[in-house]
Amino acid sequence: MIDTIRPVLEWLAASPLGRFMNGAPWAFPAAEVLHFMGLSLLLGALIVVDLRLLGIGQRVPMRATHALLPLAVLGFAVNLVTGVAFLASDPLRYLANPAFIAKMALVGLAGLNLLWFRVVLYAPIAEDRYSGALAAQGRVVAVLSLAIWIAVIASGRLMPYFDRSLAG
Amino acid sequence: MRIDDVLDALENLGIAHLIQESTWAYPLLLTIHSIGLAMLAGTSLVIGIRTLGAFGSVPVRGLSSYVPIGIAGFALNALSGALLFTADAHRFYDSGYFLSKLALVFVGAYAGWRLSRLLFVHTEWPDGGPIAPMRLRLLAGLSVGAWLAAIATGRLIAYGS
Repeated sequence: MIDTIRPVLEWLAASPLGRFMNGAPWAFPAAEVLHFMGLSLLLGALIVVDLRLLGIGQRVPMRATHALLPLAVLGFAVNLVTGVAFLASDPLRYLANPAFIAKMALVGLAGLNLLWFRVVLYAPIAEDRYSGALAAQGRVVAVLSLAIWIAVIASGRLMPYFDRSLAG
Repeated sequence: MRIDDVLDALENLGIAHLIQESTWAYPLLLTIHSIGLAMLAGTSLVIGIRTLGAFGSVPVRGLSSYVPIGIAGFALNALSGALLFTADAHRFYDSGYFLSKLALVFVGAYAGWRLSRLLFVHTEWPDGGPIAPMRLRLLAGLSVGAWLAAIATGRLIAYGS
């Protein structure tokens, strides 16, 4: 796999973004600060949406919790941009890090789970047709969402400890 | 040099030695600290941003359900933070970023707590109309600003003083 994406990674490392991340001494810490702020926005919004699917916080109509989804999208967008910037600083080093691979796989799973929510649950909730079997699916989606994102945070935070170029 | 004696004593606690000598205790505490951050800052940002006027379709008083999650995140991070501190007391105490973060956490906790009392116990903005009363908006701005700044300074501790 690495051979097929190697040209992309080399292009990324040589791109203005890659040079910026390695050039300005404050670029990496600044991106990290933004990455943690993005994480808080994303999780803050998802805590409300997912717990509501689990039946917690029923004084907020389920449909109204969807107003928070743009906040989650904003948090994710900030973290996508800063995440690509980290990757651009040293692509092969990230690719060799098992915690990074696990984190990317988990983000992919979160994406599939979101797709499930969007395709099966979103419209019925918006149109007040949400009940019975759908609510059971909603609880599964919510538990998966919270569990996956917590695992994303954990694998991300543990990345420095799986970095082979730092070990030993 | 009394403070040095205190820092030495903390670094020599049994629990501090355990953390220093274990390969995984410190990374696991950092991981727990990140999850607590998501719970505390996440819920504080949602309540603060709502009070500042966004997502008007969300009933304000319904957000009281998320206060316990913020408190649980705070407790998790007070504990994990205290343990991280004992393992490396001198380095943290000598870091301007760490001391700034601690001050910002107190500001954020005060503002967030006052805001939730006024919103959910005293119901000073019961209808959640277009604009919250001035002092609620001030507390919300203070809470959002302090938590974002606490995240920033906390992250920068790793980059020296």
